[in-house]
Amino acid sequence: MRRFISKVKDDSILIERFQNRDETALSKLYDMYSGAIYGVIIRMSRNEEAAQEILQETFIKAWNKSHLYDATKGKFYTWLYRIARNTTLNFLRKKDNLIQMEDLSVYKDEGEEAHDDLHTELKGALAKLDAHHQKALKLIYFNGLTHREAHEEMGVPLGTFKSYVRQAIKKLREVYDQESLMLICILELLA
Amino acid sequence: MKDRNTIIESGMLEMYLLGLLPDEKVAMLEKMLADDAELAQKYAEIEQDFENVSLENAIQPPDFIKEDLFESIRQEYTDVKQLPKEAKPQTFLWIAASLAALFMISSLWMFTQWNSTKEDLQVTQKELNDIKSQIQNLQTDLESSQLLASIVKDPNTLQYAMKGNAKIPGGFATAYINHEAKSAIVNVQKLPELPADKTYQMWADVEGEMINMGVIDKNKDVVVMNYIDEATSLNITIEPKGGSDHATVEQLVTNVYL
Repeated sequence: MRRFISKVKDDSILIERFQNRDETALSKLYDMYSGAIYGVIIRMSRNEEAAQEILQETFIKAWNKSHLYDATKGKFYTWLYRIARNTTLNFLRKKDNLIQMEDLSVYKDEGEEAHDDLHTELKGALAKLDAHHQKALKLIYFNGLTHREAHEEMGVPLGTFKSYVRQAIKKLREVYDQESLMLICILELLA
Repeated sequence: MKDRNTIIESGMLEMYLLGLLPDEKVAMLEKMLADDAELAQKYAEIEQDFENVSLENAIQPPDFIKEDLFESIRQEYTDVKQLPKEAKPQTFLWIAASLAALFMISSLWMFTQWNSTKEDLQVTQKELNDIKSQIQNLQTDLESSQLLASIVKDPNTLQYAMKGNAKIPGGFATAYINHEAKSAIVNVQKLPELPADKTYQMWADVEGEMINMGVIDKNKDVVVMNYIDEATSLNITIEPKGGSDHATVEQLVTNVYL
């Protein structure tokens, strides 16, 4: 617990330094979160080259708009995730516009193929959830879909989809709680 | 309590996390999160779980992206730092040069305007003087005409035609004498012009002596002369410019007996 409090304090100091244009703080935050953010971007864009550009753009935006981050309203990672999500969706919208002007058949199913090549299968707690819960969270969190788009994609009514999301979040909490309990037990045993 | 559960069940918290909540609901939810510690705790858990999911599904990006990122940030710095240094003096120089040019052009324009106004003013003044002199002449003419009219109208005025002799062929003057008003004027319109060094002069004959009635100003058509009592005749001679004290009888051009 003391370690947890100390980590939160360190993070808030780090973020404060980041907001004061400290490049070493940016470097540290990049090391902490670039992988997680890149994982989101690459799954959403399904395009490795674009994902690399979007990742860089996300951190540049965060750096330039760091004063807009308000720690009282949520975690730094959530703020960074929203920037990444919006930047990626903007990229996809522009790409869609370009495709509409060209031959659609050339690009058909390109995303799914790229997706397979990128080895973006889900891991960790999310992978332990039931398939429909897993898919519901994947669609809204990793694929950047709205609830309306996602329920159509899953072929279930909006209400059902919303309850999938709620259940998935509850299950996720249970998995993490169990993992924490196990970790505490192991630590107790070791101690 | 009911509100809190409704919010949790409605899925607003994850919508907020994903950035999908409409602005009006964002403000409402943020206020509730600030006021309700339990709701805030619930949200913090969801945030943490999503962060954990992301970290578990992290994909390591290539190293060059971090290098590119820092290069791009430093590039922005140098752009920001260099721009004012290089651009500012040049900008000021341009502004100064433009202002100087503008000042010169406006000065030149004003000088031209001033000169033209000065010329206009001179022309106007000359015209004004001409008009003044014309008015003066008209005034004089009017006075002469009025004088002539008043004398002619007067039943006591006697009119004498003075026909010119061989010295001024075709020339003649008309004299108007009023013994009641004791006035004498003469219309000299028809007297021929004289050389610049000569002038007409009028005389009254009183008992064989020529009395000066005055020099005739040829610039006027009607000239007021001195009235001489008991004159028996009126005489006009040509005299040197400025007139003479005594009449040069040889130069008599016309005379009339009263």
